[in-house]
Amino acid sequence: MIRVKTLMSLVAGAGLLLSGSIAQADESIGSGARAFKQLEEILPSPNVYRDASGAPGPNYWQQEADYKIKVRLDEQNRRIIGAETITYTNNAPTSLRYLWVQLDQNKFNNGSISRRTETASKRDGKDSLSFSALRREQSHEERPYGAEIKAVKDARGNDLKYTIVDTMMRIDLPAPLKTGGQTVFSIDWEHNIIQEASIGGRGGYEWFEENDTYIYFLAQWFPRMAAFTDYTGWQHKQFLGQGEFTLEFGDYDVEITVPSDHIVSSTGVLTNPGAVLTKTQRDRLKQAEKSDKPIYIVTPEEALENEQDKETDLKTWKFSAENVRDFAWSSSRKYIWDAMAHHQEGGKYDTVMAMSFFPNEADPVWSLYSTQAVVHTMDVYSKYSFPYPYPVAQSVNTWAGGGMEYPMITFNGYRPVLDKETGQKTYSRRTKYGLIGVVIHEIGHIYFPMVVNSDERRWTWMDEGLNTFLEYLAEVEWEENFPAFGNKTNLLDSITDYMTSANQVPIMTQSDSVISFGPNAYTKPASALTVLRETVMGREQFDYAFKEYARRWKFKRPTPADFFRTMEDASGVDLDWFWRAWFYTNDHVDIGITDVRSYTVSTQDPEVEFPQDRAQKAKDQPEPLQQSRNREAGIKTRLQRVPALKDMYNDNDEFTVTNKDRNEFNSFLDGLKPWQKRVYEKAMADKNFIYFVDFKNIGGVPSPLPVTLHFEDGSSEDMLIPAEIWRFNSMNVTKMIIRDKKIASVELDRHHQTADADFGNNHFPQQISQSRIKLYKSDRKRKDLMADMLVKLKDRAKAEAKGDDKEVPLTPAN
Amino acid sequence: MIKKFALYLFSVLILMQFSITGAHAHRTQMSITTLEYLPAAAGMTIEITHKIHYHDAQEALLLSDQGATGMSVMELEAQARFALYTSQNFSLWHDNAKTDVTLIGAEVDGDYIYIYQEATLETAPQTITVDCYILRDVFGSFGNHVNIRRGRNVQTLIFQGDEGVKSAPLP
Ligand SMILES: [Zn+2]
Repeated sequence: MIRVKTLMSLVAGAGLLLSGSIAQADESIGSGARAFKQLEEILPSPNVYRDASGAPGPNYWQQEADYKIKVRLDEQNRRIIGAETITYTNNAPTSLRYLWVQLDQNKFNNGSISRRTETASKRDGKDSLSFSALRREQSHEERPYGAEIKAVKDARGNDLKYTIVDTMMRIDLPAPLKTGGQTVFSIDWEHNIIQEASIGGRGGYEWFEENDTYIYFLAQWFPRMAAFTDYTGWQHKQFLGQGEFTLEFGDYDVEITVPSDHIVSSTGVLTNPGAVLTKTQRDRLKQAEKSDKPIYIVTPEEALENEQDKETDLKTWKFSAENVRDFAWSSSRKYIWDAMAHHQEGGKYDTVMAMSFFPNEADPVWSLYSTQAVVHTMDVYSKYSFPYPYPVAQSVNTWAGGGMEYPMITFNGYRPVLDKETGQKTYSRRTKYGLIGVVIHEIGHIYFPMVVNSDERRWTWMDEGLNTFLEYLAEVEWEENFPAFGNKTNLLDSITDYMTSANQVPIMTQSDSVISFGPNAYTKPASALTVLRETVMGREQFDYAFKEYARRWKFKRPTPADFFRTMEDASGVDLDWFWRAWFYTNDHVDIGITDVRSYTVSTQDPEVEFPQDRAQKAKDQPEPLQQSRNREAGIKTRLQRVPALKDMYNDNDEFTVTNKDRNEFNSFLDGLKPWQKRVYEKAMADKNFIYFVDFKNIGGVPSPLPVTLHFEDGSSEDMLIPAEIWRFNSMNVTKMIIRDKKIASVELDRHHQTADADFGNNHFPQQISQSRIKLYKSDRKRKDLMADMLVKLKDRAKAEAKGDDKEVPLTPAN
Repeated sequence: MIKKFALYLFSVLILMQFSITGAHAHRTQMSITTLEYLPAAAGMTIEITHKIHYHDAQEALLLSDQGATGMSVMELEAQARFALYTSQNFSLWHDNAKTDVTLIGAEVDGDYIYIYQEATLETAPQTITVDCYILRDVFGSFGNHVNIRRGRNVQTLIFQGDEGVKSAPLP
């Protein structure tokens, strides 16, 4: 219940109260100014390369690196033997005396910064070693990893001087490479392929122990040109594992030589199908180009048969890719292959081939969902950005869990499990939605960052955050109540535990120093964009600006400032306060309604007001017990005992209307200017209720206020107060609401659209909530059932543990 | 001189060692544990709530041995097993002394399984040390997020990969 009081006077300037309380504690003075400070103060200055509007500037430039690669998979030795020729074009306004090449495989070398800075773990207060950690160490001892550089030569075959610095290699040029100039050089290299399950990485091989078969998936596998940019020069952050890659666009011609019974999936278009595919396979591919559902190019039965033998003859698959920033491939004799067509308008390719490659171990769930999810991703992402810009999009099952993205090809996890009792392969709900989710996510990365080429080594959120946001849109469009990110349908409900925790770093943190990588770089920025779209900006403004960002930076290299600026510039919505709070601080959203006061406008007429005041006083100040009990006890007051003490004041209380009161009222009416009189008379006719609602910003992030008014007559009304209400005072504000019916209660964010972390303070009058654990304990019956079960299980475990030897002691060395 | 101890390779009692590895390029699943430090007549009580997604718990059960295969998290026994597993993979020290933690129970509500534990302390501690290893033995990419709360103050400990005990001051 909200109590109604009378507002004693109409103040001409009452509307000013909308902008915040007048008297506040000191710390809140200027808090709005701090929260709404211009972001320009921390963004890099706009220049000729990057415009203040967030668009590429008039002199925007980027480098180009084109590759011709011949690579052989040595299956016997699980090794790569490669030779590449790189044509590097310098579009920078400066000449270059040296070039940097990335050798990401060197991360797996025992001498790498990554290896040498690994830390040990403790369990139960003691030093400990898990089976997987020990397996990893054993794998590193078994054989060396890292790129073995065999030759670095210029176009005429002369040796070039090079220096290797951890995961990077500097090549000194004999003469500076001038602006607009081109240089051609070649690198021969080899490296041992890691077993991904034991060492952990983004590529490697997977070994299927049950039938001794392999899947090879090659990522970060060739010496790649490091990025050279207008904002940092050469990319000089070593590969430590967490920060991914930023590279240059270019064209690739790659010849991949593998055992002749392998099926290869790769970035690019296969240019020699006649040499590597059977007639049947080529016919099926033709059919798939016209099919709106997946068609097998290699059937499960054929794949099963294929994986039985082990050919040693070789075949060379030739792929060509235009305007890509990386190149990855996978090869195995285990692969089932399916494909279908995705049709689109307005893009470079009207038909895109969506394809999946997976072993029998991944079925039936992969045949059902992988390729369909690839098509769905293009459907949804293209709507919010641009038509899919390549001729193929592939999903390849290269591991049991995880996902990784490259241009036109993605490596995805999730497989069914074998039920030990029935021997049947079954897939859980988690596997099904996990697979659809990971395919959407990784195919989505082909847009961000494979085409909108943000710098992953610096800003993970720019691709993971934007992509997770779009993934979420695509999941909700896949089916309603999709167990989306964090397995919740509402992304905003899944982020608050993280945002209220301590030990956070802001989203604007360099990739390799991000703590809590998932929530920080994926969920929080995705939540931020969801709040922007659904609450702050609205869908129309958001979608227009986001699409403009994608259009502006397609095949270019945006930085955070370009994103922030474009979103404001294209939408006309000032978001400096939003970027500041969500991306530069660890604050969270928690707004509470602390008080609601209700008034009606006073008539000021003593004949009307005084009786009401009398009644109100009786309600506000009940008779003290000292007095009522005296009366009950029969105690007579002096006044009752001595009637001579009685005068006029004993007959009339303070609320009795006097002539003085009447005169004052009349002179009040007479003193009103004509416009004031009109306001007064309208207020008397309206008989409105006036509410003063106090909001407190507990979490620190200024938030729009989606308020629901619940009226006494059972109806309700939603209203959205923009975040700018916090611009003077970002800690406390009071909003005046005038309605012609009585409000019973006020609720904040009932659709959970602001990422509010505590709904316990979102109601007025407050709703009582109890801790989960107390509620659980109060349900005796349920608690006792569980207690009995726990005792039963504990006893059973005790009995089993007697002959059990799961902890394996290591003999201490002398 | 370097002291020598026997080093134990650890495995888990209720759930089988089965690691799903994966690159970090995709999202990571995690559990959320909240330790609520409340003033009591003498000393403090700690309400411990572990919140784990239903699907993660279900997947772990699918991979488990000792007869839990095929069991649904909706079943009381599965919840009890999960509660036991969780209590065995969660330990607490205060000012370096191990604290007895009582397992209260478990329930499934909405998308999550909640496991409840409780402990009491005679005095307010200076340092809290936690070992939380929930499902990290089952899923390679799983993380444990532990929020230590007292009133409005929070401290957070995050456990990933093979990480062991971590400490924080009482917030
Ligand atoms: Zn990703």
